[in-house]
Amino acid sequence: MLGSFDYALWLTSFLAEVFVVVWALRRGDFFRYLTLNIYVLGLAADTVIRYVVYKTYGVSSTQYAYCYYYTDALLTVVMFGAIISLYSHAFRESKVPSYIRILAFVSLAATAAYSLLVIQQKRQLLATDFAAEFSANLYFVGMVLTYVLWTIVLRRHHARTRLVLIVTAFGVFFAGHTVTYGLHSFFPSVAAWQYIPPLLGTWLPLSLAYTFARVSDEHRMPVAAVAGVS
Amino acid sequence: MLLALIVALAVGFTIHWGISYCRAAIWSAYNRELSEEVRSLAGLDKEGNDPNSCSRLWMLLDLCPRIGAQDSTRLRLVRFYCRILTSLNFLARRLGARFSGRFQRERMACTHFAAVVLDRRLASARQSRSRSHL
Repeated sequence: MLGSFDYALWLTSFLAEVFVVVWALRRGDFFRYLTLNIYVLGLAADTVIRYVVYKTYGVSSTQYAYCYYYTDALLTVVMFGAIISLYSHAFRESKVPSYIRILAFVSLAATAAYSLLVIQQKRQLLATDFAAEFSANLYFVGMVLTYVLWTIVLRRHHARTRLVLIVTAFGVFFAGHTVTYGLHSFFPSVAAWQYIPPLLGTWLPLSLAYTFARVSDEHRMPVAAVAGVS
Repeated sequence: MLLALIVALAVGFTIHWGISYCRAAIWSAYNRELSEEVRSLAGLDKEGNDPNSCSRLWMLLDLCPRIGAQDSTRLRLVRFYCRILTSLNFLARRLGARFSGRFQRERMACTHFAAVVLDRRLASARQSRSRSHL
């Protein structure tokens, strides 16, 4: 049974997701960050689908578990697409050799394709422990890819603030999920871990909403001041 | 063992990115061009970066009227943070310039933040005075 805290998070994240897409459409940023906006749209749709499945079958049903892990895995694949677009933004900013660009794009695309293939082939296992393991692996890969992206963003003396905020928000999201899955494996009896994924799920659209609403695309900042590097 | 390593790495990344996000958000919200008036009052350079002007800026902020100021809590937090940095900087200077440099950079960000708040408060005080003259 879900409590008022879960409902509040659900509603907050849904409103933030809708806000991001509407704001991007109004300001003409939708196509500039196309895959990111498609991902946020997917998040909003996922929130609605999960709510309907929860209301129909209940939170402890196999249907809800299947829906949760299936949509989560699919959205993570879409998120890899969003990260690819962030890579292209970062590459446009800094001078990176072309072979590194190709390597990054190929590895990202291969990860996304492999994940999609696993989801399609092992669809019947997505309500079992396999789903949790697969999600944990995807989040770990996401964390590593975000770290590589972060180092590319740091190559410039003055980076675009929007890019810095988006990349760090994704970083917190992926690393936070990896920590949660890891801690859950060590201490499976602790109930507190179940609150972290919804919190992280709210964090991402909220931070994206803040970034799009408050930070202009042209604004730049010294990365040394942000990352503590010289 | 490998899982413990991954968790430790992820915890480190979460903290690192969390701090970076906060810094970037504060920077984007408060990084404004400073007026000539504030720069000369606080003795700042053109970039508004002089860590040693910190104490003078806090003093000026205490004297400045707070008309419609909504940033008092954030200012108190930054002031507290700046005090910690000053103490750490004092200790780090004994260890070497490399350690001290990091704290100096952080203090510069605090100074800039305080200067922007002072600038805003002066502008709103001026605006309110001109409104009362009308």
